This record gives sequence, C-alpha cells and structure tokens, in this order.
Amino acid sequence: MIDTSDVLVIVPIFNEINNINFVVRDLSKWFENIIFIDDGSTDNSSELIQKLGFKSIKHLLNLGQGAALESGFEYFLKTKDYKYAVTFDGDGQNRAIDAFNMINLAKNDNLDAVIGSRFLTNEYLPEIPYFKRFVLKIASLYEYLFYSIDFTDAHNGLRVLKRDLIRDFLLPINNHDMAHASEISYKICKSNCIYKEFPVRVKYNNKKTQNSLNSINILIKNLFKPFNN
Amino acid sequence: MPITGKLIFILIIFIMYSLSFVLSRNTSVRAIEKLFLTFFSISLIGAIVFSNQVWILLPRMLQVNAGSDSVLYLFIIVSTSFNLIILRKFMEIENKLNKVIQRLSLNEIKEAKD
Repeated sequence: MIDTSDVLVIVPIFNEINNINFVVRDLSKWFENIIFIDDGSTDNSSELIQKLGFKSIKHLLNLGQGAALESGFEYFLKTKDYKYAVTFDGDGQNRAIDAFNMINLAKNDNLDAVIGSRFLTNEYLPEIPYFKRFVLKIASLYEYLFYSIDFTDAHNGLRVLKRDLIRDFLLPINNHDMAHASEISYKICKSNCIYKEFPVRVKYNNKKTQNSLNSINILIKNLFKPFNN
Repeated sequence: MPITGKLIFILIIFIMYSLSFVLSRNTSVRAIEKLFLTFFSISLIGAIVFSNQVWILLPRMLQVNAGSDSVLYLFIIVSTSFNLIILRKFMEIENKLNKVIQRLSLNEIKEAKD
C-alpha cells in the first residue's frame, strides 16, 4: 500500500453533523492526515470533529466553500511538509478509495494534479440525475469556450494537488463561493502543470448536494469576478 | 436614436464594465474610471440646466436628441456606472472581511497547536 504520510486531506464542511461520522470512517481507512474546515457551521460539527480526535479550522461566519478550501490550502502550506493535498467534499458524496487511487496515480506518474471526473466512464453515468448531467455538460462547454478549461467534469470537488501548484498558482482563491471550482480548474489549465483526470463515483443520496440551478449564479458571478484579477 | 447612437451607448457601458471588472485595478484605471464618471455626472447636470440652448454638442456627439432624451441617456450611463462601481466595492469589502475571518481561524489553530 502506498505511503500517505505526505498527503493532507482537506474537507470543507458546513452543517454536516449527520455526515461527519461516515466521512471520517471512510477517509481514516486510507489517510492519516485529515483536516476539516468548518465554514461557520451552527450544528456543532466542529465539536463532533474534535470529539472524534481530528483537527479542524473553524470560520466564525459562513464564507463559502472556496474560502474554506483557501484556509485549508494555507494550513497545508504553513504546517508540516506535505507534498499533496486532497480536496474532499464534506457531504459524503466522494469516496475515499477514489482519492486514494488518485494519489496513487499522482505519485506513480509524478503528476501535479489529478482531477476527479464523473464522465470518464459510462459505468457511473446512470447514477447522475438527468438534469444535473445536462447542467454539468453545459457548464463544461461554457468553461471550455470562455476559459479554455478542457475538463470533462466542470465541478468536481475531488482533486489531488501538488504543493508547488497550490503555492505558485492556486492561491489566492478569489471566488469564495462555488465559483471557486471554475477558478481552480482555470488556474490548473493555465499553469502548464501536468495533470490527468480520473474516473470517480459521486453519490447523490445526500439532499445537501449543490443545487443545479446554482450554475446560473456562478455564470453571472464569473462576469463580475474574473479569475485572474 | 440612430444605430451609431445605440452603438456609442453600448460602448460607453462596456467601457465602464471593463474599468470596473475586467482590467486590473491599478491607479490609472481608477483615475480613468473617476474621470468618466465625473464627466458624465457633470454632463447630466448640464443637460438639465442648459438643456436646449447651450447643451447641444454632447447630444450631437452621442447621437441623441437634446433635452429629456439626453437627460435620460446620461442618467442611465451615470447610474449604471455607479452601480458597477458599488458592486465592485462590495466585492472588495466582502473579500477583505473573508480574509480577516480566515486569518483569525488560522491563528486560532496555530495557537491551539502551540
């Protein structure tokens, strides 16, 4: 089994008290360094994380997932010399085994980034709701046309990112809401780093997953908040 | 309004949008933005005070009729520009507030470690 002592898993959460136990159990099987970024939860998520013996950074107010990831990245760069960061959704829709396999790929192929994608294999396609699939395809096309982002999955929260890439290209994250995903993809594509996409499975049984119509908010926000500004 | 007038109108709005959101916010861009806004604000007042008698040149330049047409035209430009600038300011303030909260959170975990 590959060594994951140089990997930090960053898990942004917001009112995920019902999912934390599952996420912790799943991640602990594969990773030893996990940090939760509590983005202003009001349901005692932080207390539960501490009770389970994990570290957490707590934002006083809800700033958005982009801000939570940015705090996670800053912690990642400032503390122990981790080589890779994994971004993992706190609502339990990602699978730790996918993250582990992505780390494996990044280390074996010496990649700077591995990005999860729901659309690389037909195996998991039926699990994605039709409307979500449609919106994600439109979003991918939009990102390709306007930002030259050539990822097959526009907004996938599961990523493996190398230290240098985060330090030199990804920070600071200007979009603190869900538009951060497009910004991160844009910066990865513009950085000339070596990256690959990896087929991942996303579970949709959680009602708290992102609303598809939020893509309209993101699209309009992009008009007023360019990624490179 | 002739087609050239409409194009000039769209161009002015686009310039204000670019100054506020597309170009990087250095001193020159801020200065040009303020100049634009001051010019159109003064023009708006001028279009009311000196509507038909004196204020002829600007409506002719903008391809719009003098009087109430030019007042409405300039009012839309000035209010849209103000809105764009205020939106930009709000975003900057939101970003600064976020940074403060992030710093506090990161310092807290550092202190806890110490």
